[in-house]
Amino acid sequence: MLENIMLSLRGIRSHRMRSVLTMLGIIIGIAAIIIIVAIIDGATAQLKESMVGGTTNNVTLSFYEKETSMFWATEYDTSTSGPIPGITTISDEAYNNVLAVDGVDDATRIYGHEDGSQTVMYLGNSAYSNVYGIDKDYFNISSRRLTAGRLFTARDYEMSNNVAIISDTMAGQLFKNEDAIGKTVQIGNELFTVVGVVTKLVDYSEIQNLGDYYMNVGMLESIAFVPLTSWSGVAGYDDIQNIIIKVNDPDKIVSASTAAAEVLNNALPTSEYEYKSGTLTDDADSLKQITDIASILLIGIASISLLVGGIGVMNIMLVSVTERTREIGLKKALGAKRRVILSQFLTESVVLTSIGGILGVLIGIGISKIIGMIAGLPSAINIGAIALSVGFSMAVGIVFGLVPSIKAANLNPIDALRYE
Amino acid sequence: MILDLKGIYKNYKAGDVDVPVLKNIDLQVKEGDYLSIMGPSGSGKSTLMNIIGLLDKPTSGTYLFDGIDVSSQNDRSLSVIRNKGIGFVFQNFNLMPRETALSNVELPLLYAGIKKKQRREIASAALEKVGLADRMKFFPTQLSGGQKQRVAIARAIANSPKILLADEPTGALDSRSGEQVMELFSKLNSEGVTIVMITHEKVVADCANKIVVIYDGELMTLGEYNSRILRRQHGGDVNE
Repeated sequence: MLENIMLSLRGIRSHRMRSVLTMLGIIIGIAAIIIIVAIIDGATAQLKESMVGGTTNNVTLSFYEKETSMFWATEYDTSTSGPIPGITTISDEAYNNVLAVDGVDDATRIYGHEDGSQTVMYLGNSAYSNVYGIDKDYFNISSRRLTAGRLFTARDYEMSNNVAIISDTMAGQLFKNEDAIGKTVQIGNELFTVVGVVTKLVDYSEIQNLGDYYMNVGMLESIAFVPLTSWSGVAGYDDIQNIIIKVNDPDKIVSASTAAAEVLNNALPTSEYEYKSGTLTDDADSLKQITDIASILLIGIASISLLVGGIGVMNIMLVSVTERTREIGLKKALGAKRRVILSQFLTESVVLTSIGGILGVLIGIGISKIIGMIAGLPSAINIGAIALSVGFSMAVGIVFGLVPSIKAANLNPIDALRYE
Repeated sequence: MILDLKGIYKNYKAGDVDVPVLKNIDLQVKEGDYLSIMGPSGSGKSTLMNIIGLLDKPTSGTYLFDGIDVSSQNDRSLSVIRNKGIGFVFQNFNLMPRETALSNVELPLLYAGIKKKQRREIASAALEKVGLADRMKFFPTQLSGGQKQRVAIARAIANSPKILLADEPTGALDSRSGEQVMELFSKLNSEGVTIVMITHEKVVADCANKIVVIYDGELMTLGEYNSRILRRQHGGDVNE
């Protein structure tokens, strides 16, 4: 076997130009597959990161009107009508059920209207902002980090203290260059003492749609947090609670958030409202389908190139068999069994396509790195795709080498010896 | 008896007609024999050679090679017999151009499944025997015609075959090299190697212990051949 491989390599070296041209189809096909997979993997990873929540994998399950899929507070005027009748806060039982959902690592209950319409005022300055009533474990899930002051204490929650943590953006809006800690601000109808300032690292957990995106990331991130227990001071009544879940696997984001929403909805009385994960998770899901279809299509095209490459290999192998008719005849006369001739040509074909495959992988990796650099896409080199490509090119060698090899093995030794 | 051919016929199909090439050939070759088969071109000597060499099958008749009826053997066992039983020497040497002399001689040993180290030893010994100990690492293109043919002979005897089958071994050589090859054949025969050689040159055929002639597909002694030619000439046969 090793002998055959060495023999093949010598043969390939002695016909360098021809071998490279023969391998070209395989090289192009394999390189195309590697590039396509790398780009699609990279693009998908980037999409996931920018749309679904990146490394934090957080999804907010909010309350929507069933029929219109509108955020409840957009439709329902809380300032005049109060809470939606019959709908209460998320119970501990429902919360624990959400925690038990497959893929859910952690969850925290949160109040908030998410419409950016609440005003936070300090002396003459005011900021339109989102105010959230957060639970004790909120900062375990959120990637916001404290930059000044302190977080809420257990005592703050017990006593329903009117304390607030504000985002650095809001601190800039309200206090300019002054120290925010200890200042008193008005949120809703009540006064709150600012105890901490947080900054946002990478956290897209609040983003549910493009509007949120612009509000949170694009333009302003003017946010104030108060303890969950102090929320009634902001909203004036028992409000609808949302929940943020942290999913342990990006691929489970859609399934986990759907399951968690179902758990919450089961605990609700029948109404026109329901918990739903944001629309972006659905978008991400359908985007994934699109990229899946695209990759199947592109890999299909690349496979056709491989097929054509394989036919090229078969063609050259047939030429090679004809060229070496005398050699084959001689070998048979010297006692080479049919199998020996067969394996010699088959090895040559497989060595040829394997070298093509390996070159294709190397070129593919190179090109996808270059494309990644130019387009700013993370190009993910997929080990599975590489192994599959090399395996596939070997298979092409076997499939398309078989006909020429059988032809060689079945040559009649007299005809072969007489061949000029 | 190494070769025992009885009533061998070989027909080729030319369109719908069967053209007889070999007619009722009887031939026996014993161990240690040195036989020349002569014949003009088109007489069927190459066909006979192919049948003896197990490269072709007779249309009818029996052929025992070293006691084995070859008609009952499959492709695989014929390969084994060719490999271990027969050493071929061709007119145009048929060496592998990209292999050294040593590798060329090793080839039949490789097919016999002999390990590399032993292969080297046997092949080197065979090359020494034909007087090419100093040319082992040479490629065929670096060798003269006579040297190439001696490499081919070394390859033919490497597996210690029952018989050395030579097809016009001097046909592509100048007379000096041809003589060397014939000397080598005589030496090998004196050491006990059985040789069957096809040639159309009387001088070459004379090196053998025994000469037969194939003419129009029939095998005959040199005397029978001569009298037949004479008869034809007297009968005014214009076809000859």
